[in-house]
This record gives sequence, C-alpha cells and structure tokens, in this order.
Amino acid sequence: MLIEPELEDVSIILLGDFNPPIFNPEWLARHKIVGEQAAFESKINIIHPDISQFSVGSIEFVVERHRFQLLVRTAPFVRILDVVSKAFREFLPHTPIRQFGINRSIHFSVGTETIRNAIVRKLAPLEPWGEWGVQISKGSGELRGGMLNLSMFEQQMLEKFRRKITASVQPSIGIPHSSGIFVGVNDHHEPIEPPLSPRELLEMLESSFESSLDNSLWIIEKVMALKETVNV
Amino acid sequence: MFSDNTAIDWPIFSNGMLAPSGSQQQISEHPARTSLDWQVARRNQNSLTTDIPAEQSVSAVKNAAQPIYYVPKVASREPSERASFSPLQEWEGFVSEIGIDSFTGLLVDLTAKKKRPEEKMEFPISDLSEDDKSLLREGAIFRWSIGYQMQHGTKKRISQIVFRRLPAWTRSDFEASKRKVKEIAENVVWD
Repeated sequence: MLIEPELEDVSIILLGDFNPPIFNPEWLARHKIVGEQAAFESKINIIHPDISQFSVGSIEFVVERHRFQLLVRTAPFVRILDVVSKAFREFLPHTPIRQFGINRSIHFSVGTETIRNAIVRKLAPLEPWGEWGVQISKGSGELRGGMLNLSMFEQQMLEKFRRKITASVQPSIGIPHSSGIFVGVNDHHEPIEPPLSPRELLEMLESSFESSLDNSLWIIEKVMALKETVNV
Repeated sequence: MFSDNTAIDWPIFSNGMLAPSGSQQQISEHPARTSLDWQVARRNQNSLTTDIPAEQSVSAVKNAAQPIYYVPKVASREPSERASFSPLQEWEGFVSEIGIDSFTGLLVDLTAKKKRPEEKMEFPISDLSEDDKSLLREGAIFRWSIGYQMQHGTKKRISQIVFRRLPAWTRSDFEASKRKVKEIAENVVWD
C-alpha cells in the first residue's frame, strides 16, 4: 500500500429478507459461526424483531429486516465472508438474498493540511466555480471551504450480474490536524435477470470477495498517489 | 444510485418518543450531528448497496404509525479509540502437523498473489486464542496477518493468526458440484 492507513474497515452488505432476532451471539456460537469465548464477551446494543445490533470480537453486526451488514476493522477481513458463508449456506440456505455489496474504506494521512488541501483542490478545482470558487478560496480556519465529497462511478456487466463500483473521497475528520483523506469504495452486485437463487449470489460473493478488496485498494491508491503529484 | 446523502441519518430509525437513555427526543430535535457523525453517515450512505426502496427509508422516518426505534451507531466511539489493523503481509495456511507446543503450517503468500503453498512455518500454540485452539487440527485452514495496529494514537506491529470457520459441505453442495463437473465434462471437445 502506498500510504499506511490510519483507519480501515471492510464490510459486506446483503439486501434481502432477514429475521433480525435470529442473529445474536448465542445463536452464532451454538452453530460455531463464531467462537464461544468471543460470543461470551460480545457487546449487544439491541436484539429486536426489526433490528439486531451487536459485536462479537471485532466483527460488528447490524441486521435489519431487509439489510444484513457485517463490518470489521481488523485483518483478516475474510472473517466476515466466512460468517456470511457459514450462516447462509449451512443454517439459513433459504434466506432470500437479492443483492450484495462489498465495501472497503480507508482513512490515511498525507502529512499536512496544506498537502491535503492541494490534493483536494486537484480532485475538485475551484476555478470552474467562477466567483463562488473565489469566495470559497478565501475561507480559512473554521471557515475554510471546498470539496466535501466526490464520488466516481463505474458499471460493468458480468455474466449474471451488473456490477456498480462507487468510490467516494472526502477530507477525513478521523485524522487529526486536518491532514487526512477518506476514500470509501462500494462494490455492488445485482442480478441482471432476477431472481437468482441465494446460493448463486453467495457463490458470486465468495468468488469475488478477495478480488473486490484488491480492486478497491487499487482505486484507493489512485488517490494516495496524488500526494506525490502536488507541489507544496 | 444512492439515496440522498442528507436524507437518511445513520441509524436510519430515529425514535420520535423515547431514546433508550430515557430522554425525550423528537426527530427534529435530534442532537446536531458532529462532523464525525456526518463522516460516518456519509460514508455509510455511500456504502449502502442501494436499491433499498426509497419509500422504505422515507417510511422509516415519516410513518408515525410504524414503531420506530433509536439505535446507537455501530461505531459510536471516536476513530482514535477504535483499533484498526491493516495487513502489510498476509498468508493463508493449512495445518500440516501438530506438536505438543506448536503446529506447522504450509503457507500461501496472498500478498504476493501466490496460488500454492511455498513456505512452511512453525507457530506456537500459545499464540492462538482459546476459540482458535478448539479449531486446531490437521488440515484446518488459517490466516496469518502481519501489520500495524493503530489505537489511541499509538501504533504497534502485530502478528495475528485466525482459523477460518468455513461452511460444511451439504448434500446440495455435492450435488451442485457434480452437476458442474458433468457440465464441464460434456463440453470438453476431444481431438
């Protein structure tokens, strides 16, 4: 990686029909989807017919009736894929899953606020904004302005899926001294001609997970590389 | 593509009556979000695999007939308090031998995009968590990651071994594999 991340997370999101209260640490441990010790030490926010939210070890679960999310901030990231595979292949094979997304987000520091601002200006220059751009450029300190969020989008047609990749860049508020940049990549897959069986979606998720993370990193490194191109 | 970045807060449900803490909170009186909340909300907004019907998200906020609940954010701590561990180097291995105090693994270098095991390493069993010790057996698959962990503004180099909890093969998995093999075999053209 070109720049070491300060913060990183990877998540899998499934869209379909779920039963949130099923997903709880005890159920996961009973089926050996997570370890017993990890389940015992789990932190539960809520288990409710509409939503379950808890963390087991470093894996954060948020399950709603139509959205299932696993998020992890520590490697190995493949653990969340294993949880999805084991839960939905072995114990909930008939759960209607219709789409999925693989997300990777990184906060990294470019050293100084000046460099950060130069990178941001390169991505979103103020000149096209005319007089308003001039006004924005005059702001400083708490009144500084400029790019808040920039998103780029790509679509691909795969054999049975439409793939939509979205990368968003923002100044990071997670890194001190205004020296950070956040890049998040969402890699979304939806069947071209639904319905596909949950098994087929899971197979696609399993076969594309690692390459999706690699591709997301490849995109993120495009922004990281801008650090070497700004003259500050 | 995305729901309006400003339309939906995370959590998407806001309690119009009582927050879990017991304080009264109307949606319109929801505490102003900090910039971190905005960052998390924007980031999470961007990571929605969309296609959540617009009416579903709108109804969650506007439909007073449906019960709505306040749910704290998954990541409610400041970023500096969350541990983050990004791998510099990662291997996938399988256990080839188990000794009294250590086990041997054959390793595939994932960082170098290798496909076959080319390295062999001995690992102390004491390095494993109690949960992973229960998974230790010949043939078990694990991930070995080396990298920097960032937490509370400090950085330390760590090495971590985690055993994979993979789904067991079911009858339908076997049947699907057999069908696939048959399909491939039928499409082979022999000279």
